[in-house]
Amino acid sequence: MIQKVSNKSDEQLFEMLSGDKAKKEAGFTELYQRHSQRIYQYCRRICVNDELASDVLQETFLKLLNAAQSKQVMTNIPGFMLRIARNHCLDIRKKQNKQVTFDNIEIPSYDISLESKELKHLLVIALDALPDEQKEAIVLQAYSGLSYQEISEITNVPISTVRNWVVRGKKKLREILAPYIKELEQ
Amino acid sequence: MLSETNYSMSELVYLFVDGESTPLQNDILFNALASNTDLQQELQEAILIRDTLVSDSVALAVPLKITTTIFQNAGVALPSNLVVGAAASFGEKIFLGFKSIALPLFTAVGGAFIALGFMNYFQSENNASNNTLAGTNLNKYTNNNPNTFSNNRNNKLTDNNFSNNKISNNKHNNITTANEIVAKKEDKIEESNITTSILKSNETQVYNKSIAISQSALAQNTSLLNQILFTNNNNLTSSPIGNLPINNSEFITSYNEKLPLSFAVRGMMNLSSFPAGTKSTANEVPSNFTISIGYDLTAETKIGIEGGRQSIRYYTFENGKNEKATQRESIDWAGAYIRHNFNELTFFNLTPFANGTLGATVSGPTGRMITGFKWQPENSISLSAGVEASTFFYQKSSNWQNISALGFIYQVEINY
Repeated sequence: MIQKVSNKSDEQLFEMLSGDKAKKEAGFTELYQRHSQRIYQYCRRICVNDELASDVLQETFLKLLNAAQSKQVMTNIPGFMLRIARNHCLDIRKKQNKQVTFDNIEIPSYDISLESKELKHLLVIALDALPDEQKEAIVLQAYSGLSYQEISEITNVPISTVRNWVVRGKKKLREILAPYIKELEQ
Repeated sequence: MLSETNYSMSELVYLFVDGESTPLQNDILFNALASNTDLQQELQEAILIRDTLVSDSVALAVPLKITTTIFQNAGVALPSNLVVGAAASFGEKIFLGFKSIALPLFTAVGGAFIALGFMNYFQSENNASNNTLAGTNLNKYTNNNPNTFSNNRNNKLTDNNFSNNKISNNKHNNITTANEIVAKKEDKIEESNITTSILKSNETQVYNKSIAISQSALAQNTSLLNQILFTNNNNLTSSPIGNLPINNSEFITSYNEKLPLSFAVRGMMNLSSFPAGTKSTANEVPSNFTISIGYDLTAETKIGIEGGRQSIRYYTFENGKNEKATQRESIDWAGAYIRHNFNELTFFNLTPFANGTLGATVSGPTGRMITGFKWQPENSISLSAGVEASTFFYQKSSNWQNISALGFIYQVEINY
């Protein structure tokens, strides 16, 4: 019985990438549909720049394809792709050498009560003001939907460290946004 | 490693919201929440932050352009279910919508000006007719002002009143009245002649002059009557008085001699597309327009053919084997349509109509449905506006799928 592509595991799809043209197309499309969104979301929030995020996403999938064609054995496809994306993003961040401190963050003020859209906008600004490791942990957790354990595996740090990054990061976000949230509640 | 109970209450709030807390930690947190309003506030805000982050992540869709590039570089065909791509922002939709309607809008506005020009031209011609009539005795003899006939004919020709013979009857009545005028004039002339013969006086010459004047007046009035008939009814030939009255069947034959053809240009502004992610496109070439030729089956129903170009983003693949995807911004289509005007529902000169079209594109069948209102300022021109739903079918892996769009349409139609 032929198994539907959508029912195949990531590892099975990865194997299909080294098969004939039809298998390659089916496997690549399915993997793209499953993982492109979360990788792009991660890249978009870490790299900030849309164009850079797109470049990283493209590089990630091309490396996945190359890895499959060189017959590499893969056990954690999403982790593998996120690691590739992460390495690229960190390189970009280093080149950008962007240091935004908590103190000098500027959030635009609004005369009218905040809408959720505006809160989202402010949250993105605040997120960018967090230390890199806290921001990355929150992005992986909230945007890519990873558990602390999965984040720990990708970043190669203990789970307790991930927990601290996420909790401290979110507490800082709350601190930054507190006046605006109060206004929103009013 | 920290023990489960070594976290502060504040930290437990975030672990709980992230779904990373243990049952024991949950119990500790819930007990504290019961009596701690600050903690309750922190929990509410932590949930708000989490929800906002999630909603922001949902809004970050991979741009279609990037997806296309990745698939091209990977040498993989782009599946059509990814074609719909990322949703455009509201502002982007508005901008793209206006950009895509530039030419059709220009055409429609131009058509409207032409229509207004025609209206002014015919109005001034009618005024000229009224001025000519003002100095004659014809209005005294007729119960109905001849201009009434003109108005009736112009306004009611396309309405159901045509089928009710109101126009024909009006015309018939007026022409009959005109004959009565001529008859009365002839009677007067005869009376004058009789009077002339009875008097047989030296004043015979004077009376003969008056006869000549009366005959001249008759000739003038006959000419005027012909002018009235000709001016107020371009479809009727100027009939000799002796041939009047013209009956209804002659009038209907005369109406049918008018070509039942029309030519229309329609523009469309995209309002929404389905699936929700389908993106309005910015085109280098004009799109969202339709050109149609119609034939009047009846006073209310029209059939015809039409074709146009619509903004829909799709992909074509080299050799049909998806070797290389090429992004297209618009699709050409053509089809046959049927349109029905609901004349009986006309109000404020606006006539509701429904239009259905079946056609085809390079990818498969297409269907369109329009409903709206028509305004006809003059017989030759009508302006329409309404809402159009269109759908394009395409085949993917032996299954038929479709992309649909909803738009606001505006149309200028010229009737021959």
